[in-house]
Amino acid sequence: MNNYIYRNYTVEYLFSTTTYFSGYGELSLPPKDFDNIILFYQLGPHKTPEQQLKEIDEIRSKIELLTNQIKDRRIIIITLYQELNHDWELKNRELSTAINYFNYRFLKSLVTENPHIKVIDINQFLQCQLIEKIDWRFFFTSQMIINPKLAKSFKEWFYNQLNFITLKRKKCIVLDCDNTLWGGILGEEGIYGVKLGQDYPGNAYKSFQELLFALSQKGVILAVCSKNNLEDVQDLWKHNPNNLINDAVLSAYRINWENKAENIRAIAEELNIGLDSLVFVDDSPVERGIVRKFLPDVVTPDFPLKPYGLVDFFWNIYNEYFATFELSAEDLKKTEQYKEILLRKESQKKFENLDDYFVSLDMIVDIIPISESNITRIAQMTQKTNQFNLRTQRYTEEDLRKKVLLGSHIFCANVKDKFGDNGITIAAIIDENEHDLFLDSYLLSCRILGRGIEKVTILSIINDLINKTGKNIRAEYIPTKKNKMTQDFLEEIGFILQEEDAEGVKKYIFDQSKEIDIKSYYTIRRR
Amino acid sequence: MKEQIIEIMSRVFELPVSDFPEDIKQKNIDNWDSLRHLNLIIELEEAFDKSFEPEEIAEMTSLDKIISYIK
Repeated sequence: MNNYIYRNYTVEYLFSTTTYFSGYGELSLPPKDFDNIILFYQLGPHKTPEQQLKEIDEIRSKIELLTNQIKDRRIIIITLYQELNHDWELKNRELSTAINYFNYRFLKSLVTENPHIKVIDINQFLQCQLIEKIDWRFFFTSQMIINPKLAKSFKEWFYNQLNFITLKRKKCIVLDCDNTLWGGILGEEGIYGVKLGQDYPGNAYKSFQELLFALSQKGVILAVCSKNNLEDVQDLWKHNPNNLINDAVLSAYRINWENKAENIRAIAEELNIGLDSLVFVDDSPVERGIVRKFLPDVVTPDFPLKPYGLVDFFWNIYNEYFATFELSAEDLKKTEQYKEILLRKESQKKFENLDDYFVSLDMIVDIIPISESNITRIAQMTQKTNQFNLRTQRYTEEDLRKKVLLGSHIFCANVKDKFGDNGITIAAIIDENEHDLFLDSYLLSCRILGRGIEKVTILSIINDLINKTGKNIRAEYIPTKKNKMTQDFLEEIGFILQEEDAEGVKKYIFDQSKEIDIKSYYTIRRR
Repeated sequence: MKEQIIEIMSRVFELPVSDFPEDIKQKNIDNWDSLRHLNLIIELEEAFDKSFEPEEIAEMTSLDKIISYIK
């Protein structure tokens, strides 16, 4: 299965190697066809509760934007962690409440409106883990949002959940009677003699029936297929007050001495549903064997050996074949109310397209010349940046100081938006000789990719230098194993390709007359 | 210990043991990227029951250095 994941932290180690990932917080639409689009956003566990509350809003906007734009594929949204947050006040747990609201109301309302959206609750997984959920060493060094020691079990759990979502849900449970819905054999013990009631094992059968009854209220069809005298069973339905599964609840029944495979086939026909929508529950291994053999499409789970196993058995079947995120009419009404509350809140604007969203971010790019305060960071970026890096030249602080003495223009840029400061994430080095300028290095942290910042920043720097020096600028792209994403970048910002050699090194000259379409989302400031 | 580390590296970098260069360091191995580096660290921590400090993790970019930090 082909999956594309939108995320805001490092999660690559949690998924199979064939998965594709967006940049951190990036929102551009996925480049090719994927079976599932997965939205995996989490709150920064290192942030203050106030910042996290703001981040919830940001995540909600992103999810709304993506779900508005991607209508033709399955979208799977992963819930926010619940346990890792801290509130200032014990009585008024603002952040916990907001997370809960997000997970169980906001996401639920999305699922209700869009059948192609599903939710996977990560808390289900985390609650069962015994080791620390976050390893702060790996969080602060690599932004890993889950302890990497949990990666293996996460993978297993997640792909199970995914299978479970893509599985066709079952519609109907077909039940045997004797030793399934009650203990003992009706024909021998009589309608009051079967075990169904207050004491063990009767109470276990009673619980099983209550759960089945509740399940039928959720819209799952119940049917009975039993080898019994019809009159005896009808007598029990009528007179045994402990029995809940009777003709008032059952949509179909076949109570006779015929072959069960034939009976089940008849039930499916009567209900007009496929055999693959049925789950058959019978205590007899012989009957189960016959149904498995003749009706392989029907799911026939093993029955618990002891009556006290019935509750677990019920929930296993439920979780495996019937659980959904779909809601009843009453739940739908509740969701409507939640939606009104959502709309009233001013900050919760809906964004129909990426442009509106970017405008709302109030992005500010500060372009800063090299100085003692940022030289370490610039050198470090040249050492570490692999993907968005035109020539992958590695420099030490010493090298950079030398370059400055030789007349190079070196800048870095700081990007911030209403959700916070990303710090210095861009560096540019431009050499100058007596004839012209040369773009020696241009590199950018992937964290801020996908918003067009990479274009406006370098264009602003270049245009400024061209005006100041009166010289034109050349540039170069040197391919490496990792920087493929920049191979056409120079063309996109108005450079003209002049030559390309056998190794794929491309040489360019800047075309000053070319108009580049730049969106006005950004405020660019120069220091 | 050296053999065990190389075995782990071979698994993490998806590279047969016979293809390893003489001088095993990040610069000499294409698949040794930042993500696999962390996978390597996690596997080493489990195999040798260690917990490395972030500063050490950043330094462990060659077989010799890895051995020195495990010792």
